[in-house]
Amino acid sequence: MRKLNIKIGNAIFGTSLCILGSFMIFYSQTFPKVHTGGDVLTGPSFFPTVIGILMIALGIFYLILSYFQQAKVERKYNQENKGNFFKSREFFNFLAFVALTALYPTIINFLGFFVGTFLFCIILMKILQAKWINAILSSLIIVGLTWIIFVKIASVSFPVGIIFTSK
Amino acid sequence: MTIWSIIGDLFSLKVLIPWILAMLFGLFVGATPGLTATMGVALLIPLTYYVDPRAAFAMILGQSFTAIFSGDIPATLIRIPGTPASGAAVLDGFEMAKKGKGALALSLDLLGSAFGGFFGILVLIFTAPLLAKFALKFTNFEYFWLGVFGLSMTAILSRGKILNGFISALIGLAISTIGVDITTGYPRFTFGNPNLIGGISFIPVMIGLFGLSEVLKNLTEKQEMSSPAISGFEKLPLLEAAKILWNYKIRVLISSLIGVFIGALPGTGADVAAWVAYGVAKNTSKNKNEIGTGHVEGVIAPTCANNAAIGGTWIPAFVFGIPGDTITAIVLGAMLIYGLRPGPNIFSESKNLMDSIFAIGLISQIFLIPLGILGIRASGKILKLPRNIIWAGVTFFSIIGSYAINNNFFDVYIMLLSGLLGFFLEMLGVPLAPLILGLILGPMIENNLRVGLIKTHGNFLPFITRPYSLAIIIFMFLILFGSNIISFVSRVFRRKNESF
Repeated sequence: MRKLNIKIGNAIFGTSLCILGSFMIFYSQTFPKVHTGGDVLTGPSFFPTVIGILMIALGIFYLILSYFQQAKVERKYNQENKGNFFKSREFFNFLAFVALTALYPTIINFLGFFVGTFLFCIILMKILQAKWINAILSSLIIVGLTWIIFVKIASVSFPVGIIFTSK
Repeated sequence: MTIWSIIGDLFSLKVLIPWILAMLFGLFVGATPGLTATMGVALLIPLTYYVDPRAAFAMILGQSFTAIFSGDIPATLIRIPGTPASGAAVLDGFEMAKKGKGALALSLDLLGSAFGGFFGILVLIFTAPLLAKFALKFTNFEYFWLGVFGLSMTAILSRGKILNGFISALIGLAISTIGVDITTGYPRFTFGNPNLIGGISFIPVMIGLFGLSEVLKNLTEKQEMSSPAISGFEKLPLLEAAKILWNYKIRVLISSLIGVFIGALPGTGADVAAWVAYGVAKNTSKNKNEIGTGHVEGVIAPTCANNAAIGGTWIPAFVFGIPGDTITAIVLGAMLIYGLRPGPNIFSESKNLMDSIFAIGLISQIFLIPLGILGIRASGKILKLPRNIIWAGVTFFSIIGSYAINNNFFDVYIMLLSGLLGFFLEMLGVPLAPLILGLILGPMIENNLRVGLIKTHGNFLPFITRPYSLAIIIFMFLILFGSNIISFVSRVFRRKNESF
């Protein structure tokens, strides 16, 4: 399983580079050409095309190199990692953390800065395994500090919240 | 006016109070991810209209110096660069902090910044017209090579994994092509999304790559959440730091010189200076194998360079009215209000004010030390909080810091994606620093290459044959391969001697 994961990881990365490079080359061909008095100038597609070509070349090189270095990496990886990460509590925390961070803009747009941020901070701290009392107190401090630093001093504006403005 | 009367004027309350307050503000702005030194200056400018011109410059310069220094504090302690100029400070600073030497790293940052700033201002005083004339000889061809030179640091920053380093830099370059093409105005890779028209701001990317990825890494580890060890913040090892700086005096001087020179080139700035100085240190130092693993030289080089660059950025601003970076670009607009007309005659026409500005630059470095100690101690106290609260705070301020740049939640998604990208890249052993380098230098390389090729009708030869271009190429070659050439030559000589 582990061996498969490492191989898949390297293969996915190398292949992704090749796909990304190919995409950059082909998509940039849709960019307009620049002409001046009969001369075709280096247009907007020039640099992305160069990057795309280099990316494909390095992607292929990476795939070849990682294939030959496989055994070395696998040994090291197997020594460092025990158990199945994808079934662990850590993986669940990882997913919950990413999902919560991605949801913060929606939460704050709906509940407003104060309520949204307070709730976000409490959930975040619970994901990070903080005690309830610490989570509540710290969340209150974070909300207060953010308001002073960003709203009062730096004049950053935050959403008021749909539920507070829908009247 | 004598030097004493200038200093006497500067120590009057109407100058001193706004000066110190602005420096404290800079300390706070720099240490808060998402608030940059540029943003700090933009916030200060309206206030400077109401004060004496000397106080105005004291506020702007003082704020810039403290902000650039204090950006190193979160970079060292929580792996989030406070300002773009502190990107390179993350590398060895955070590694030192992990070893329990955070207080020493920050002491080095503080004294190195003060020296770098002092050096930058001295160069500004004595060589401003000369350096500005030299900088103006640089055209697109030279700027292209300068960008390539910066990017070549990838090979050095890759810690032996050169292929992975170049892949990382390529990803950065690819990201830098998103947004409106400056030369033709055509939107590239925006897919109709208006948020992408202005391109991807590198601050959320940097916060995500270094800050959020560290939180993610901690989340996936079985052991209790870890953060840098806290010790020595009550009594900072400033004397030890001063001794270290003295032992590495050549590195301090070289890095400061690199900082001033790069700062003096319009459109570059403290961030590029710090990366180049770090790269040069990593490739030319006797301790090159240790730099990157938490070595003092890796802390000294970028911190001296980024503060020295501030003095450098004012050289073209004062002499030709050409901004050296975004801060000077903002201040240039306000200079006439302060009674300054930028140009080659500025040093004679506004002699008194210019002398005061020079004195402000130098004295700010002295003020920086006690104020910096204050900032470091406060940060040390924050780090004593439980680890999970610190990481929650890091996450939240990463989010808010990314949002605050443009008041746009799109940047939060960019930060989150960068965090995930950084997490996976680190898992695969791909270094993150070259990605930032590619993102910062991408537009500089592309625009100058294209404009240069347009000028020469597609002929690349002038990129190599111009004297200044050639000088940069040779310099780059020496930096990259100099140590290999020297060791090869010395090996050949040794063999010859042995055979005799």
